Amino acid sequence: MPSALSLALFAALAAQPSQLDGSGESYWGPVPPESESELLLVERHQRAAWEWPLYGTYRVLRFPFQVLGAGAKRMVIFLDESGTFYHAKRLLGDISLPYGLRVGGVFDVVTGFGLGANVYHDEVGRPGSQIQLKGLASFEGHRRASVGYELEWAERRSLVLGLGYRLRPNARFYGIGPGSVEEDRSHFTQENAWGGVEFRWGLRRAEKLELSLGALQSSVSTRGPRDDGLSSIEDDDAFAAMLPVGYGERSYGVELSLGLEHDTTRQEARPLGTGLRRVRAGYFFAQEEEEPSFWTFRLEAQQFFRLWWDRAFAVRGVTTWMESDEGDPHFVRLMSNEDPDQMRAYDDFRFRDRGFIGLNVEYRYPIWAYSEPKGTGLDAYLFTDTAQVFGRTAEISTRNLRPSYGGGIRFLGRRGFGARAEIGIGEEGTAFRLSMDQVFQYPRNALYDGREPIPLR
Amino acid sequence: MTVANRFRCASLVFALAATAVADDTLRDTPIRWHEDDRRHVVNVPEERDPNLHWDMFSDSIGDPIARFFDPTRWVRRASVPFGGNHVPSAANVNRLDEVPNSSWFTNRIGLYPLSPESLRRGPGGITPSTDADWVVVRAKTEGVTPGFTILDADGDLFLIKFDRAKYVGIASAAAAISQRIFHAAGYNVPDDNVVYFPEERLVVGEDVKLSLPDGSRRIMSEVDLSEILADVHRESDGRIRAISSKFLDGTPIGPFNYQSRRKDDPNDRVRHERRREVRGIAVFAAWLNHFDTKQQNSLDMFVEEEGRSFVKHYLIDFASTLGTGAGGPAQRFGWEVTVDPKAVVRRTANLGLWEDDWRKVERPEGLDEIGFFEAEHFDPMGFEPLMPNPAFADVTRRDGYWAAKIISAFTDEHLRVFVEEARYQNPAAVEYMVGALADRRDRIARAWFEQVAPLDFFRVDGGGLHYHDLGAERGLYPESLPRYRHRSAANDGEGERADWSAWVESDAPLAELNALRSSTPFVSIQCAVDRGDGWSDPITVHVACASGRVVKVERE
Repeated sequence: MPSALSLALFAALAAQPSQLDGSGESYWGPVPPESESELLLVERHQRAAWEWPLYGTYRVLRFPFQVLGAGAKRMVIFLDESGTFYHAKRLLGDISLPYGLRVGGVFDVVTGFGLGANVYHDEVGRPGSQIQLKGLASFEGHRRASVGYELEWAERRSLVLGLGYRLRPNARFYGIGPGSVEEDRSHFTQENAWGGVEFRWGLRRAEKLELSLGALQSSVSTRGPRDDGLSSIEDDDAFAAMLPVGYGERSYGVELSLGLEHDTTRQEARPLGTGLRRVRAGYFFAQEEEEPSFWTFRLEAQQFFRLWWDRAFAVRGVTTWMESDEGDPHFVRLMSNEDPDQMRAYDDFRFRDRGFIGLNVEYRYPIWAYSEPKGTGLDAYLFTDTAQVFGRTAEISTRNLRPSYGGGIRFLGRRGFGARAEIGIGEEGTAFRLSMDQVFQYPRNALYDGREPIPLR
Repeated sequence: MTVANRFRCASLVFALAATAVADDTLRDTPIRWHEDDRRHVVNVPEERDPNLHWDMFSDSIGDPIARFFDPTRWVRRASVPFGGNHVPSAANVNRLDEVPNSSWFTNRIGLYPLSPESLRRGPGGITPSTDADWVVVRAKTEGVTPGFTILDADGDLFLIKFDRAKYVGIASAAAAISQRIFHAAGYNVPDDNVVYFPEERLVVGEDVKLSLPDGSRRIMSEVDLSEILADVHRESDGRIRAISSKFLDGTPIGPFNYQSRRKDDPNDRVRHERRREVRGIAVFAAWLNHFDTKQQNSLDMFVEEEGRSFVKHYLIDFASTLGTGAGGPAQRFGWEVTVDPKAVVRRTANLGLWEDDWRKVERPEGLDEIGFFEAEHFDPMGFEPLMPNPAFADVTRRDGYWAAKIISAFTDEHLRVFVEEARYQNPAAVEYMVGALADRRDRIARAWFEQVAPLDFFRVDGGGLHYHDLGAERGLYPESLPRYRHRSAANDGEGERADWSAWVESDAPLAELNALRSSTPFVSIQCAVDRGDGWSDPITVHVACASGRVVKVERE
């Protein structure tokens, strides 16, 4: 509250005429208008004398950088005015083509340098449908192609169809079981083809509780690696005497599956206090005479605990296993630490056996936000993973569990998770990973997305 | 110590001392309240069109690096313990340490007791005439919010911009309030006002070009108009709310740079980062959370006034203030620059065990028309614009004090009048905004008054030097009973001053001037205040004995 003195002063001065043009009776006294005043002329050069030697030297030393800067400035202006920035931004997203088609680029370093393209179109045949074609080819011979079609035929009812093909010319094999040794690494060519259909029912409106029923026909074949310089399973000392079950033979069959997914995370990039649970059971009918049929089961739970403020503790537990009374399945169809990074700091598909059990734990905290906590930003995280494969449940033990730990940074964009960069340290070395896939909340759109991440069985 | 090293040390000491020593010459001449920067200019200066992408790089990386390696700044920083400043003092202040009127700034509420009503309308309060339709002559579709340039029945051009449908009223209110505050402070601003109009009032003119996001252009149609307006919120009576900004008189020649100067403008003699009113924008920006202070939010106009043509400098676009951005409420803006590597490293290292203050800021509950604007967590010295501003980096204590002095002159009644012009739907929003502005005003004023004692407006009257304790008068220290003290010394005006007399304490801001009868032409007086936490640094006032005129004020 202003004092009585100030109010009195205000009243006294307010009685004088005052203007908004900068002249009149001011707190300093009368200020004449410009036409009646001596004007203040500020000297042009305002540096003190002592500054000139220092500043002059600095300007000389800085000159080359100024030249570079001037060149960079011209380049930036040229790129901006030519529309390059605009078109580059479009390339990073979806490009709209005629007839409602959209094209996006794909770049995959994990399978070697390559290029890919996605083409998808909405409302194919009827509203609520979409079709997607994906393709990828790398210089190392990896090939991937898929077609996915999704139709929402009623509210929370959808039908998904998918076809796909994948060629991995230098897939790795380390042996079967939790005790497989890194030094035994050998290579082979793996070729998959599949086609399937899946029905989905949303059981609850408020949150995602979805039942799925699917049928998938798949074939797998294996042979020697493409790269003659790599050790082949057939020639490797570790496996030449006893090749893994199914090597060199084709596996062919149909799997019927039933799954249930409960997801309360609302697909947020930073879920807090929510979780995701998946249960799936399937039966693989082998169509090759000597190949066994088998059951597969998968249990997965993820929970995102809110700690203090918006710090999160993310925990993911997953176990998958297969049961068969007819013998050993094709080795490619065994459970493994597949994409995406179920065992960080270890190679994907490093371990194979009838069962897999793993635990991933992350502590996440924000380190940068563009404008608001839940918007675009960067999170740092510390993680530890521990997992193993097993042929029998008796093999699950601390002796066989393989730990890893590390940290990284997640980029979160307007549409959710964008990318992560991390360093993982495990028993078999240190791995740096730059990836656009998540360890948690990874989408299992499966048929529509070309079964990426792909369970190769 | 070798001769060379002795020379180096002496040079350094000399340099340090040079930064701390001021000009001691005094003159008994009238104070100059107008800067000579409005001489007639024949040729229109070249239009500037700075590239935003380049500015983002140079403001964020290039210029800060250049400033860091400037050796003159190192010397100045080293002189700070000896009373110097980290940068040169502002070059365009008069002997009373005030900013003269110029093409940049006109003293208003900081120097004059202006009534709230006289400031309500800002520079004019002119809105588009409703006598006829508004003809759209240009459309803006890029950016977050659309807008149009319209021609009204009186032949005036206006820029019409809309709020985002999700955040109706926030940005337009912020623009109306902040524009009036900057105008009242003394800056040149456009005439922004909140307007309501029916959609039918807009019609598309002939051959209106529509700029598309890819840079191409085509003729605009009524369908385009409808599409653009489709996402704009409508009131219950169907009217649309917008902020109208009357086109400024004169020829636009692009924004002004916050550093350097226009070399083709003979009136632009002072580097902009050396101008106090440009530096002072930092303090106003902190008060209003005006985080978008890039040069593109300024505009130079080549105007003709009173038979002279010259460049006049404006601040424009105040929609990104008071806790909101063009895209809606902005929580982090104003607390950090867009990317602050030091802050990112700090947060990474502390493993999330420390919470940033900006994350604690919340919007007022139930007031959808208010963004992230409050005073509880406000740090007057912690403001950061989205992109580093070179003039803001050069703010000295005196610059900050000058701006804070003006800010403290805004009474609650002034603020209420400005907030009423925002035309909030909810009366509670008015009360909240007035309260937040007032609270932040007081915090800013106190923060800078602790840097420089707020003893000001010195006048000789009846043998005594009267002055104002702005901190006490403006209610910033209600709990304290201030004490004042002063001392004096004869001064020949050529740098020779007698020894100071003993300090004399008093309860009132008044210094007896017996020494006015001195044989020297001038007398110097030092004044200080104690609010219970020790005596402030003194303010030195020089008075001419013959005329009784205050000829100079030194605050450092």
